[in-house]
Amino acid sequence: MVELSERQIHFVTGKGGVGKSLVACALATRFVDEGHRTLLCQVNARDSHAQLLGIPAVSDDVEVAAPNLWTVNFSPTQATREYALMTLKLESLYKAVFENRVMRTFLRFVPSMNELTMMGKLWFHAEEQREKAGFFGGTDLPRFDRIVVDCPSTGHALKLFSVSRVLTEAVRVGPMVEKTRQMQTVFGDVRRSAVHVVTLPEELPVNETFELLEKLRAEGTVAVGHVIVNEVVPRLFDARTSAALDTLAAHPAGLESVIAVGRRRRGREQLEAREIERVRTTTLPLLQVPLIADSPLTPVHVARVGRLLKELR
Amino acid sequence: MSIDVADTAAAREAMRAIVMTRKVIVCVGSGGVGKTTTAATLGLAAAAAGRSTLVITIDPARRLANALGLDHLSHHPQAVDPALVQMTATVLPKPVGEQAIDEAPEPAPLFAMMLDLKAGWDDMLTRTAPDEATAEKILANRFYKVLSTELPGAHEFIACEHLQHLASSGRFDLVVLDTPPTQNALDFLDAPGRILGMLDNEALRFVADKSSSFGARFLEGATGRAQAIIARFTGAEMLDELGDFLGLLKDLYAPLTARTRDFVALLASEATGFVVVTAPQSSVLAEAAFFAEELVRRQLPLSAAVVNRLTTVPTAAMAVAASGDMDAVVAARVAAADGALLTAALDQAVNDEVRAARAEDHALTDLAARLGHAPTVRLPRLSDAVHDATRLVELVPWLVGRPTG
Repeated sequence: MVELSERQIHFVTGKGGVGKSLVACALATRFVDEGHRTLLCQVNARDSHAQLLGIPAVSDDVEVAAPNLWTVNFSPTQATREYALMTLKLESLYKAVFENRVMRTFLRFVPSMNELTMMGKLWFHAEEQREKAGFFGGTDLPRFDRIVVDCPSTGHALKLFSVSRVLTEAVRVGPMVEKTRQMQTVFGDVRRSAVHVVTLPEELPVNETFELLEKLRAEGTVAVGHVIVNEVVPRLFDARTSAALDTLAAHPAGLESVIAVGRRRRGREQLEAREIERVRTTTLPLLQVPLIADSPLTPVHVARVGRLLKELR
Repeated sequence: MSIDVADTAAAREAMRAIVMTRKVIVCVGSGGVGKTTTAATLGLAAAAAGRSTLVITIDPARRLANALGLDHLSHHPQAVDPALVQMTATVLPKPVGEQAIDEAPEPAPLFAMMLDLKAGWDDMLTRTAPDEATAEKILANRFYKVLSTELPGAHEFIACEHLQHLASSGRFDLVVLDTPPTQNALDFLDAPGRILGMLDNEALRFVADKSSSFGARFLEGATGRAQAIIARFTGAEMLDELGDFLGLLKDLYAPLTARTRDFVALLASEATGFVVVTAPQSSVLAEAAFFAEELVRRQLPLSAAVVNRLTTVPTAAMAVAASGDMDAVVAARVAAADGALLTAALDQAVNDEVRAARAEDHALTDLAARLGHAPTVRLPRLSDAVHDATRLVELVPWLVGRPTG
């Protein structure tokens, strides 16, 4: 079993609003700190990484953002173009097909075409070799030691992992289906790839996490790594302080308002603890990220979470 | 104080008017902000006030079912327990002044449904296809599944179509739509045009030309050359089948255009109210403000904003904590070592709440400026997540009534 942190490709997903981008950026930060050449990807998203990491705006091209850190946004248009050029080799052939309006419509009806080309682009970068340098040329080193993919939320992310099945169902045979098989040797390799699921310590997000995990397992195209519970309120009320709070509450003597705050906090802590216990029943390795009260999030917060994610093994 | 008393009372009054007068309410916003909860609460409030109401969700995560105490939702409207609506009626403000208590309307039924995409498209096609044979041929085509579930905008298109269909069915006084989770909230507004744009294009006209066989024409000219190339990575068989499908679709263009015109007109009319739902964190607030501006720019009726899960500044507790009186009282009640721990915990708890409330307040200032005239209703974070039906009732006064808590 290869340790998770040794794997090359890390997908980060979860439902909307749980902090996927924070976790993805923090994970990339961790890998960069460890000296890995890291590519951080957004998937057809409004750029949130630039602000989180304090780097220049992320574009559709792979660009250096900081030492050892590269960033990119996978847009369907760009990915399709690159994919087609890779398959068709010649720019003129690409134009004949993709700039032909009739053909463009046809392509839009090919199921999971966008997902195929975006996963194809990811596959390409995962397989890319480091540029040869020096007299003896390069060895077999990959261009990127680590690739972190900030996936879209649940439904859209699942489409990325079902490309092979959906295409095989619709197209049955042909070069695109072949391509997905080739990609699967990378994404389906438990020594190379993992998907991490981010959630919040609340009932509905945890329910959705169970559903997502079940679907990911059913799809079976990528191994599940960690569950990361984000925005956990720090524990102030353990058994001892909790008992003391109850003693005080029996004779509040003017402290009613403070006791109310204490109880509210304890209630939230207990609720979250229950939800975290439910997540534990998945038996997946679990990491907790404490709630950050400040807003907006800055590179300082991301670095802090990045240090926490060093526990991800 | 984050929740300004006078402002929010007026906003809740405005929200009540929206719930009582509109035929359609569309809840929009980014994922994870309590959109489904808000839609369910608005539906509950309307039914309790005597309007027969349907809440539609597209969220497959069963949140609406959970929130309304149903085991699951189907593609058809399903009645919510009338006891829940009755319970809500008791927390709504009573008519005041000369209107006697018996003027208060009888609660009306509340329904909920989860739009199933495939069933939705099947349903619409059966209703709009020129004849049964065409409908059947389309439904049997392998690529039809792609159109109905995979195409960008397919969710949004069918949601709008069903919204209009159900709102004009005469069965409901109000239909509340919980819009599908989108990566970008604007997808929802752009979807109808995008679907139509796809159906009205050269590809369809090309296949609609019956002068020669489809396959033969496909191999002629520039498109033929392109097809030969494209077959290199899709396979030729797939292209043939896809061609057949597009041939069938051309008959749908006119009816789908008519349906689109209907729902676009409904969405832009005064019978509709858009409610932008958000949470108080700056990342989602920015999205909400952007969306509100976009609604206005497109001349769609932006009616209100709802900010969920606000932290209230614990004013009294802050004063107590700052006064330093706490130590002595705690020391008198709790053993010394535990007392010190408790005081520290309480201090921290108060500090954390104040800090959270201030961060949210700061983030909300920007939203207020960008919302213009639209009232903003602010809901407190409840001590527990809202996932069961009775907790939902607690939210109703915060949305349209006079909260006491």
